[in-house]
Amino acid sequence: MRKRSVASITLAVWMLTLSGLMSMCHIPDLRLFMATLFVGFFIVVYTFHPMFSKPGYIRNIHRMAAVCTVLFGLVIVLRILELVRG
Amino acid sequence: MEMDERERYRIGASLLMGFAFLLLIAGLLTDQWRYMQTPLFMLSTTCFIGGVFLFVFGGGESIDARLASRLSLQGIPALGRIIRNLGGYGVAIFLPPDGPDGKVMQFIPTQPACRPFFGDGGGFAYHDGSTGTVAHPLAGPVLEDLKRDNELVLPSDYGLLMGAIREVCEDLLSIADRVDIRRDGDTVIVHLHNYLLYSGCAALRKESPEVCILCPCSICSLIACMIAEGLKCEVNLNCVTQDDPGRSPGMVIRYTLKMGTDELQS
Repeated sequence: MRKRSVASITLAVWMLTLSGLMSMCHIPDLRLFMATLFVGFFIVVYTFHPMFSKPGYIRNIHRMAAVCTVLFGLVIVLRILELVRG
Repeated sequence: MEMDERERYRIGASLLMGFAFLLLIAGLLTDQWRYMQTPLFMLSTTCFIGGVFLFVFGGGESIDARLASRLSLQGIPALGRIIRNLGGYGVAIFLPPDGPDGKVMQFIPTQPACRPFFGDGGGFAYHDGSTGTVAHPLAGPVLEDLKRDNELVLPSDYGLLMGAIREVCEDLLSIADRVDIRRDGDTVIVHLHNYLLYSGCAALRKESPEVCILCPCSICSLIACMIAEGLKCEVNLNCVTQDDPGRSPGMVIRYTLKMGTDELQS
C-alpha cells in the first residue's frame, strides 16, 4: 500500500474515532473536536512528509496545512476569549 | 494503474464532500440554528477534511500505465543494438561525478577486437583496464529534472540514500507500490513491487536480455545514477529479473558497488 493511501486511512480513522468518542462521551463541542482533529492532521502530515524531495502533491498539502493552522489558531483564540470573559 | 489510482482519489474526494454537504444540511435542520454542536456537524467536518485531503492527492495530470511503459522504452532496443554492433558488451557501468559540478557518466565496455576499427583509439576511454565509450546515461535528464523541480537531495550516507531512492520510486514517480532495498556485501538488491512499467520492461527483456543490462532503461539507470552520485562510487548493473506476472508484477535489480575506482582516462 502506498504512503498516500496509508496517510488518508490514518487520518480518516483518527477523525472517525474522535467523533465517535466525543459523541459517546456526550461532549458536543465542535471547536474542541476541530482543535483535536487538526492536531491529528498535523501529526499525519509531519509523519508522512517526504524527507529528500518535494512531490507535486506536497505543495497542496502545505497549502491545506496553512489553512488548517489558521482555523486551529481561530479555535484557540475563541476559546481564550471565552475563558477571559468567564 | 496510476490513472486508476488518481481517479479513485478524485471519486473518493467528491463522494466525501457531497456527503459532508448532506450531513451539514441534516445537522442544520435538526439543530434548529441554536448551538451547531450536534454529532452531525462533527461527521460533516470529518467528511469535508477527508475529502479535501483526498482531493489534494488526486491532483495533477495522469497517463495510462501501458503507454507510459512503452514511451519510457522508446528507442532503447535500437540503441542497444547499435552499441552491440559497435562492439559493446558486458554490463553498463555508471561512473560517479568527477567533481562538485560533474555528472554521472555511463561507461560502455567494448570488445578488444573492435578497437582497430577506430584507428588510434579516437573517441575511446579506458577504465579499469578495459576500453569503451563514455556517454550520458539515459536517466541523466530525469535526475536533473527531479533535482530542479522537486528539490531532490541525494545524501552520501547509505541508509539515507536508500530512503531517497525509495521516496523517488514510491512518491515522486509513483512507479512502484513498495520498494525493498537490501545489501549483500557489495551488491545492492532493489525490489520494485507492483512495478508500473512492467509490460514494457517484459517486452524489452523478451527481445534481448543482454540489451537490458548493456543499455538500461530510464528507471534502472536512474537508480544507478542516484547510487553513483550519492555514494560517489562506481555502480555496475548486474542483472534484472522479473517476478511472476500472474501475481504482483515486480522487478528485482541487482547493482554492484565498487568503492574507490580508478580514474577514467580518455
